[in-house]
Amino acid sequence: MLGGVGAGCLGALLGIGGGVFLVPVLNLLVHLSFRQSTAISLVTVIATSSVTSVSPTRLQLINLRLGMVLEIFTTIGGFSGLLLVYAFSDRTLYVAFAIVMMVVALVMVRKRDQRTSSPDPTIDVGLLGSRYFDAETQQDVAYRVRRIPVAFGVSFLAGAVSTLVGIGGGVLKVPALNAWCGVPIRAAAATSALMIGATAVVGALAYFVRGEIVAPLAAVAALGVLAGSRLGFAIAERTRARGLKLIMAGVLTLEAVLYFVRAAR
Amino acid sequence: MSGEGFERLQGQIETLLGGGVIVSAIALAGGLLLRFAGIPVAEWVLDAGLIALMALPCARIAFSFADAVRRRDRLLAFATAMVLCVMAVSLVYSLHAR
Repeated sequence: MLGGVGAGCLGALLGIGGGVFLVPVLNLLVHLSFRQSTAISLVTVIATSSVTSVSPTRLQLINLRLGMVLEIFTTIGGFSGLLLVYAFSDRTLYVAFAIVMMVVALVMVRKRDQRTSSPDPTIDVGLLGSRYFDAETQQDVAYRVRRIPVAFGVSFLAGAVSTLVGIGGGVLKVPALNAWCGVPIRAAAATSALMIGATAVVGALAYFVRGEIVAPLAAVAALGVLAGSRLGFAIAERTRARGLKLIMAGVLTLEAVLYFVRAAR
Repeated sequence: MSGEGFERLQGQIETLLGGGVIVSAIALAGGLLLRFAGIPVAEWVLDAGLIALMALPCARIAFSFADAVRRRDRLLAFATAMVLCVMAVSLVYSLHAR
């Protein structure tokens, strides 16, 4: 329960899902197998996605059109991950998880001072672009989505990684959509938060029918994440969590090293 | 939001996810309590809570598909139909691979 609350709270604070924290807790401290930990983490990803997407302020940031098109690729990626996950040894999964954690740590250090896009509400937003009202700057923001094939590729990769190691995949999609495709960071984060639910379902359902989900622990973790993410958002509104991001990037790097060592043994 | 006409879908998604989370949280918490009390239906209630939670994104996509068809939005109708197909294929595959 504490792990769930902690993971949910940290996830919301840091703007990432809690999977990178929950999987090691379940795997190393609760001694579940790596796949069981991944399965429970995916259940909590669905909870996070559902609870973070319901507020009206978040909903107007979500680009439903872009999200639904990219979901084709995240779910196909998720299914591909499923085909791989039982072919991979635990050792390979450890390495994959360690690499993902290094990437998350890197992203967290790099985006500790988030920029907002320059608003130009008059542009034609195209097929997948969108516009929204930014409450922080009190301005209308409009954007086109550039390099759409890149968005497709990253979504596919994020989906595969999601099923393999039990994270939502937002940590890969959000920076890519922002930096390469021109989606403002807040819109990218909100759209990704909605998408990770559909992505995680592919893996979670598969693990569920294979009996990998330890139901009582999954219930505890999901309830913990539901409570934790609300707490995290409440705290996040008052602080930018800059120092915390740096500390957690350090923790993640340590975890990555730990998993590299486990893989090497 | 790109274009007009998403307001109805936004409202539906808000109601669906908000209500669904509460329902599944109640089932999960109830299941845990029943299990703690040693009542045998606990496993069923826990599973129901998990299934309710996993059904939320699927239901959201299904609602979006219906909305896209209603608005004659071919791109979104295609996208959401594809996603539902991938989910179905994945489920069938997992049931067979057990």
